Amino acid sequence: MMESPTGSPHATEEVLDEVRRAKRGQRDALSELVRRYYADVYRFCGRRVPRDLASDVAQETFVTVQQTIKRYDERASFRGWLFGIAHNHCRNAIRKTGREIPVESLWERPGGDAEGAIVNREALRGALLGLTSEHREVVVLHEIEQLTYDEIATMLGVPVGTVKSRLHHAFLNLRKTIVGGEQ
Amino acid sequence: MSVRDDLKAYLDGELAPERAAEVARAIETDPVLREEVEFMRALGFEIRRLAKDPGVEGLEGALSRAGRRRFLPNVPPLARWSFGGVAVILLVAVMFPILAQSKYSARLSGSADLKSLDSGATAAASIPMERESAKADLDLRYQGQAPDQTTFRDGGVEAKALRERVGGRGQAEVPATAAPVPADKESYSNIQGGEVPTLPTMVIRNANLELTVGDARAAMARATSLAQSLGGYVENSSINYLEGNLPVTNVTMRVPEKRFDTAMEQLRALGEVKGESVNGQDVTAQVVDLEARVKALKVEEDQYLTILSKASRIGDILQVKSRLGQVRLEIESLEGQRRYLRNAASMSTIVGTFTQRVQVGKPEAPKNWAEDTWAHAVNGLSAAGRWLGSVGIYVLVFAPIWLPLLVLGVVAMRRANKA
Repeated sequence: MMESPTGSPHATEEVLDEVRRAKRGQRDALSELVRRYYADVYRFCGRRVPRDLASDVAQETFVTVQQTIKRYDERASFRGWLFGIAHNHCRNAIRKTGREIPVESLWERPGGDAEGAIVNREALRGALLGLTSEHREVVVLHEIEQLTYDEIATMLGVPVGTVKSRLHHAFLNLRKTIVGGEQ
Repeated sequence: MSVRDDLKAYLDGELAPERAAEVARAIETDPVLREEVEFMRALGFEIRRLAKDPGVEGLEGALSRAGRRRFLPNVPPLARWSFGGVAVILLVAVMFPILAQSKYSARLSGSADLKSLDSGATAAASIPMERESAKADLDLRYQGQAPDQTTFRDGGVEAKALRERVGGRGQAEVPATAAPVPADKESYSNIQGGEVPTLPTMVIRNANLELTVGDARAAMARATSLAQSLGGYVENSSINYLEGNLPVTNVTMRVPEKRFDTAMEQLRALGEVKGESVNGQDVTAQVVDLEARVKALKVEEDQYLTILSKASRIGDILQVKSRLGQVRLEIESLEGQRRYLRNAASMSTIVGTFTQRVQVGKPEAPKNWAEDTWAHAVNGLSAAGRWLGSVGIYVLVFAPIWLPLLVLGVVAMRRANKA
């Protein structure tokens, strides 16, 4: 459902070229990066802070990118670095305003189009809410934000193996909860 | 690691090719694993479907902000305040000496004005009006016995004419042994007619010579003997010690003007020339002027003497004697100036500064170098503390000026950042 506007979440040569040009201070390159990633960053923020703050936080993210892009190490994933900045801005906004999107609001309440569903949506929603915050975080980042393991690792500052392990256990728990509930 | 642990990574394409092939084979042969993979795939799909989409807003704003150059980089507030504080301190530190300097300059220019007023007044009073009128008074009284007023005035006119002629040619050529200046109009017109005798050019020459030498004291001794051998003398000499106990000697020597070039050449040979300056002041016109004024005053003196010899009343005799005394005083003063200028022009002044080259072990370090260094360091620290204290006081006193500006700046910056 949530596809990246670029079609590929990975840092392509084209993205790297834009990053390098932005590092040299070329404004058009930065504008290209904003166009390419703004929607992803906005959605990421919109799932963490209220809607009236989301666009401010997303814009602040790109302002920070503009100021710090020279420090970006090209060996790391650009998206991971970008979402890491967005993640920090979201946390700052939550700390300043005391307003946060509750976990329950991340997912739609199951409606009338549930006939075609492969798994019980109500059970899935309950199972997602039952996950630990660490497990839920990697599920959201990978399944919804479409970040790769490498990008998640860069963003959270943990090894790729940890991301893989958390995701594996999160899915095991989801399965256990859903299948157990059905039985 | 079991195949089951890697099922999710396999599904996400995050496994290495060899491991992915292994897991694929396992899934193909094991229906339970296959069912688990399918369930995970469905789960992921449903999670994405279930997620709320917050939509997208504010792209234009982000593009506009990305294209804007920020007033200040996103630095922490503490760093901004520190930066502001340092800027204010620097401003005060820079402005204070400038203000102090301008105050000092104003004081200096005030005193210079006073000096120039003084010198102007002195020059203007060289022939006092009072004396002129008294002389005219006496002339009227002894009419027919003394030279007429015109002759008296000719002295002044003559001096002026000489000054103009000399000044107009830029260089004086009136001889030092000038013939007695005629006191009547006819003789004066002869001078105007081009018979102005020539005077050798008189230039006061001063030179500064800075040398680096192997031994500064020896160089001073050689400069002294050089001055004597050329017929001159040492007017002043001194020795100072730089940091590191390196001696620097200064010799001010006077040498005959004709030997000036020889003296300079021989001094240059004492070491390595680091700086040299020579300047000359042509005083011929001044000397000519002084001589003309002296001559005019002497004529005036003779006339007073004539009047005196014919005066019969005590009151007149006293008055003439008083005037005569003033004229003689003035003649003495002008002749003193003339002698000084002639002497200064005949003997050139050379100031030699000899700095000793640094050599290993020479000169030896002073005995108390450690104590001196300690004292310097402590005094330096104390001075730095006083300076910081002074700056602090200035910052505090000037707070009504910079504090509101700083607050306004911070508020403006925050608004700009928010916008």
